[in-house]
Amino acid sequence: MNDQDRPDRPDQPEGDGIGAVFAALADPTRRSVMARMAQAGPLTASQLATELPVSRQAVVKHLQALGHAGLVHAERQGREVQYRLDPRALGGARTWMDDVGARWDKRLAALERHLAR
Amino acid sequence: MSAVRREIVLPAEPGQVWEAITSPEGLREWFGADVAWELTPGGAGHFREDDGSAREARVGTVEPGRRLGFRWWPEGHEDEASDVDYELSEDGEGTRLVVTETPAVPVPVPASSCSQIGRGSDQICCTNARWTDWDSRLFRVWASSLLTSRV
Repeated sequence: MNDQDRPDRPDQPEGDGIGAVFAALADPTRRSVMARMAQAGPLTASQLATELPVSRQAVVKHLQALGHAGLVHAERQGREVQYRLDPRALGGARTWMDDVGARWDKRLAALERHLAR
Repeated sequence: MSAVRREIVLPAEPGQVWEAITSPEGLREWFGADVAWELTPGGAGHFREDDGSAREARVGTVEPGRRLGFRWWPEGHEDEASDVDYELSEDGEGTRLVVTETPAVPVPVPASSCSQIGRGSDQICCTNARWTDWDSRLFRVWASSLLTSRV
């Protein structure tokens, strides 16, 4: 997550794709981390650790998983690393759920009609 | 959790539903695709959908009359794979069918990045994480609030 080297943020979120987003979000602590950052803005791992019932080391690991998914970016501020939330990847996940869900609604309605015959 | 979950009670016995969701003849009737697959764990599959698109598949769990799981992806794009799981159970005169589909994790997240450190250290625990406490409706509300928040 050497994002401080990137001059500007691209339109598309960086990350390992929608699968990584869902895997990252499956953990309630990571959701808490994101919710906290949504309220407070960029935070350091130490700041997050004081507010969550987990160690700083664990927070760093969670931030790494969120970074893989493109949901947070690390930014060096002097001697500290701040983590900034990037919720854009959530939009992609939501679109995926809508599209795939609509396809299953259609298929299952057809399956029900098929079996009722 | 599954990203997408649908549940329906169908007017047929589990055996008939199993036939409909697994046999090429059954699938032809409702799925909107010509399907060829080897129904055994690790078996290869191919879907040619009526809109002209094609998908490749790899069969996972096969428990006749009870459970079928497979991974599928748009032909040539395995990085866009997702996992589909059907679960069948008797429900009165009919069959309850639960379908879930969840994107596969393209790049394994090391176990050390996960919360349960030390649990199944050679496993990719993130891929086993389940959103049991969280349904997709909640996700929608939550995602909307984050997407509109000032960050």
